[in-house]
Amino acid sequence: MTEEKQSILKTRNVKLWYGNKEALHGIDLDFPKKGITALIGPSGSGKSTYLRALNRMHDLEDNITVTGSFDFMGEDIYAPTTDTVELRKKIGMVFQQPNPFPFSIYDNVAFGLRLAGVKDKDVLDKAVEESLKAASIWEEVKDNLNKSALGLSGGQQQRVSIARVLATKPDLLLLDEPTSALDPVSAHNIEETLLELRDQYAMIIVTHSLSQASRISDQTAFFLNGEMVEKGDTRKIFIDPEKKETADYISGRFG
Amino acid sequence: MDLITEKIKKTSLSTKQDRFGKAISILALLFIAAIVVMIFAFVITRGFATFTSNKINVFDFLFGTNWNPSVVDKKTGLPGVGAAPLIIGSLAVTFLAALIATPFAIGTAVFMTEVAKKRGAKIMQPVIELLVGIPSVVYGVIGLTVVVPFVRSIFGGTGLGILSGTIVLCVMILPTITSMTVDTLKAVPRHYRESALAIGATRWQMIYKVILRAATPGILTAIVFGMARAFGEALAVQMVIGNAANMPESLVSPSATLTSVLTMGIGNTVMGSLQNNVLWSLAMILLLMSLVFNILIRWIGSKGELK
Repeated sequence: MTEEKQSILKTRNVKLWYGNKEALHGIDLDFPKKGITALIGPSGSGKSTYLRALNRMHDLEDNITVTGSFDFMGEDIYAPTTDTVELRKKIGMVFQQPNPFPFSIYDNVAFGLRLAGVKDKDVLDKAVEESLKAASIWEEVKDNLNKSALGLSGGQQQRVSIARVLATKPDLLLLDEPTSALDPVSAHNIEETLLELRDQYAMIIVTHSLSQASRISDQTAFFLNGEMVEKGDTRKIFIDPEKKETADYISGRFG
Repeated sequence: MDLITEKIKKTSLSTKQDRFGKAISILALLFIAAIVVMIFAFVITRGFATFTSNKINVFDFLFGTNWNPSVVDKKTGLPGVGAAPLIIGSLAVTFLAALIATPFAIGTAVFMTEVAKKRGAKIMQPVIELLVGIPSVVYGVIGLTVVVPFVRSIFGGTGLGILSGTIVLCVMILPTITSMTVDTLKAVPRHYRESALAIGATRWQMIYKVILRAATPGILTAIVFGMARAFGEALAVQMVIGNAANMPESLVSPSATLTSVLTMGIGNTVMGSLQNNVLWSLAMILLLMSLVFNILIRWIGSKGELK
């Protein structure tokens, strides 16, 4: 891939410490403006840790230190002047557990816009509908927008969570194992949703499911023990990996 | 073969121990249940004596405004057993104290759990626990020597009254509401915080739009708990409220509460007399009110359970 021009995010030499323990040992990764990048690797390999560094979720913890360069559309994510609130509006995140707030479906999806000060009912209505459509859940919930989002099934909740993020029109979407808490049918629906969004958004997905990575991602990066071992086109990684560790993991020999 | 069958059919030692433990805990449970039942039975039979053996009308008791059980009213020919001034006094101090304490309690709890977690845990937690443990007579003394003169200097009069009672109770229930609110805020799932922040909420927006909203049932429970405590508190209130069983004219005129009248009067009446029976009726109201508070707490809890 010719990354120089098309990258939305370039990270160089990303290191992260829990206290004195180094958990990420210098990760270099670039992400294109559109399409899905999958981060794969065994548990504890650092892929989620790396993902959460991208929208500064580690700020919530006290003793985590992150270093390295993060160039997000020309801006340094970890610059002291960076407004994390603005940053997180541009870099949305979907978590492993479907986690709608204990409000109605409508209020959930409108949440981000209301935070930004949007009050106009028409604008909100339109954005809610568009986001729910984009997350392919509109047909299922359009008659129950005022019901609590907690009454939905896990898969529906996760798609509402995705709609909630999409409503704020992020430039980059981080997905932290978005289907691992769901049944196969719901997981399949989420995958379909992501595939439909692939042409409009840059997405980074952490996943434990190799088949999921191979189905939906354009590029794949393999993590092991806090190192990024190999990255490349998904097809290449899965058919003809360069490194032995990658080949071993993909063929299920460890991890 | 027979030996094995016999062995299996025989109760083993561990099964016996298991039954023994079960029996002990059931006994303990029955004991406590019996005590509760007896307290209710006793208070209610005594409390009803006013209406059955002394032939006092329940409505006269609940809504009458003249409280003076030892003197017979010349107009009606009945002793003054109108408990309305006391009921109003109790409700007034309870609600006002909760009203004032709640914002402070929520503010403190938010500070402790969201703003300064470390300092909150280190300094505020012990302070709150200490406040809970202070005997109510100490609150009463401080109320009498600090709050009452303060109220007197501003509003004139004696300084004794509902306002002083409210202030003292407010300080007393503040730690209760605060520590329970802290527990609820801590129980708000971490992913609510994360997803609120991840969507571009500021910390303050996260607190008041997501965390406080998710914690509302718990906070309401905390407030009702505080109110139950305020409603039942006797000593400290009695010391600052003035103990004049009149309809409260203002917040700074001497008044009385159910508890203050009870504690003042119960030792000076003869068992079985009307004067004694009406005090039991007051106790019955207190008991029923605490029951109401309890049911309220359970109802809020079951309604707002987070899934």
